[in-house]
Amino acid sequence: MDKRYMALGTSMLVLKLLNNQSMYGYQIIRELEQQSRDVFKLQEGTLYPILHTLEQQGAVTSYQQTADNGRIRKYYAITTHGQKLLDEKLKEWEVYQTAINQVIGGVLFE
Amino acid sequence: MNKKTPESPVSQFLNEVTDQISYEPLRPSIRQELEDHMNDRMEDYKANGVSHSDAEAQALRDMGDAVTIGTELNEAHKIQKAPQLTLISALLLLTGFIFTSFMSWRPLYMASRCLYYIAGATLLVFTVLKGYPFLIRKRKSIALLTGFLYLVQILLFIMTLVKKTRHGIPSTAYFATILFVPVITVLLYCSRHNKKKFLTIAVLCTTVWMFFMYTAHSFLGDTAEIIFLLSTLGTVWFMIHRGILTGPKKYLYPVSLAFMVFIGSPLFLSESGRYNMDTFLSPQSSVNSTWDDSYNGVLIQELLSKTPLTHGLKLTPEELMEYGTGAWYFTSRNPGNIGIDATGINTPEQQAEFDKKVESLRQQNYLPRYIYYQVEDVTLWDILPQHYYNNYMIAVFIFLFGWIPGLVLIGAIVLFYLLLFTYSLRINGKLASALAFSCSQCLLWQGVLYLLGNFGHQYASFPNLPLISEGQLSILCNTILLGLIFSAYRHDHVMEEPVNYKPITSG
Repeated sequence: MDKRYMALGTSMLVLKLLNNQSMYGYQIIRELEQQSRDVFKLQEGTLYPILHTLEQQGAVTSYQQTADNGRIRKYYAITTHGQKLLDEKLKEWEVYQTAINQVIGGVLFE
Repeated sequence: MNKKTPESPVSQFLNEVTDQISYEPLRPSIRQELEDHMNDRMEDYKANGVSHSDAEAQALRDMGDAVTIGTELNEAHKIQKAPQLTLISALLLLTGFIFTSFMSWRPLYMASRCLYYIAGATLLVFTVLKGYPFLIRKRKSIALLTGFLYLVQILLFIMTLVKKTRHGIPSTAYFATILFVPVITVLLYCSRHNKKKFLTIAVLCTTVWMFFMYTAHSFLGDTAEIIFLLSTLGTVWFMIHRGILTGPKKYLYPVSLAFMVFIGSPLFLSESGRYNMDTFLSPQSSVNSTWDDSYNGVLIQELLSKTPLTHGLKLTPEELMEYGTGAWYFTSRNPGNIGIDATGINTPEQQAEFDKKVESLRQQNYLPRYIYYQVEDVTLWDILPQHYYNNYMIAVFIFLFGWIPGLVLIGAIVLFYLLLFTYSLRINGKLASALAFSCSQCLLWQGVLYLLGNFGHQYASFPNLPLISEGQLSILCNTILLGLIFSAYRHDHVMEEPVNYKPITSG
């Protein structure tokens, strides 16, 4: 897949997950795996540059919370700006998806 | 001999990642976050019956390439540079240094002012490099120290009121009032989630403000107070706009405006406040002698109207004498209003006669201005507002070089402010952006009032043109403000939000 769309897709998925609830990094990976039935298996380390970049852009904010096992976890939460960004990314993705479908559809029905 | 324990593969991986991150203070928290992630993954593997070493190896494989992760994280946390703002700030500081050297008429005076420029430049560099991170990490100690300093200032005010003699340097109170804006910004930010704490801070800050307002302005003028009010209101509105101060915006904006008007009401309702406002709006209304600042304003407006576009002001010696003595304005030529000829005094008898004339004017409550030049040797410099060149640098520049070069200078100053706000608005961090915006406001309102004064509309005591006019405390105060803006911008991508930030030590 085109790298740009790969990046667009990953950050969109992360924002989409955070739009439902605040999560820490590992939780995001697990949710991605479970909801996509193991289709999205990221190189897990690559999630953090995405999260940190979204935080720098003001799309997500972070806070720390102690888990039941005593471990301090860094949670990420979507911001209002992040929700707007998610809407934009979803529209952009829709354009991409439509284009793909049209091409695939064209090949299939020729 | 102790044998060094070999590093675990996880530790090697984490070292590899964090080695790519150029801003070292950020490394421990990133390391901790990745380490926690890998521990979670390993625990899941082990829960499924995988051995520790296999779980570790698998977790490492799942993470991906350490150098790539570290490089991408470094990209997200780069220190930001502001080349355009750096260039124009350096140019303005250099201009101020040259102006100060050029306009100081005594070598000692010049030396002391130049020293402040050197100290100011050093302070600027330090604040740019360390200011914001230092503020975040040591904010509690800084808050205590600042509180102590303001307490000392309040005690000095009380001593001034009780003993009727001035204690301390008025300039410190002037700049303490201006620097109170970023102090309040940080305090409001840090207490914003706790209603009780927020109200306590607001009451404390208002009390300190009241002391400054009611005790200091009697001998300081109201300029610092108006700069404080405008800057604080602008910053609070910015914090509301950005969602840093939360609540229904349609109430927050008018309530904050009403509060500022209330605490600043003496500036408009007291007798001195009304006089300042009248003089500001219509300088002609309060001219009594050539010593008045309002007279300088009227003279400047008259001279600016005669200055050509492309070259400096050219006046005949007779016209210069008219302006120099004030005779052009006080057409009655009352010796009490216009300058008194102080030339040609060579003998004791002439001196005695001169002193008698001066004494007679003083008894009539006039403060005569001595005129040390005559129509044969008068120059443009003799007629400019005496000893106040620093206050009228823009106007003097236009008189000397014409309107177009003057407008270029004003354009450079406007460009400086545009860049200042552009960079401040680019900052994402909530505290960093609020702090930078508050400092930009303090610099802006000083500049606006200074520029208005240079076109004849002076409000209360003269403000400084940041980095350019006046050396001394103005340079130090304004370099701190400018340095904080640079530093907040520079560290925007590497500092974490302070309220949520708890330093994590790597295990």
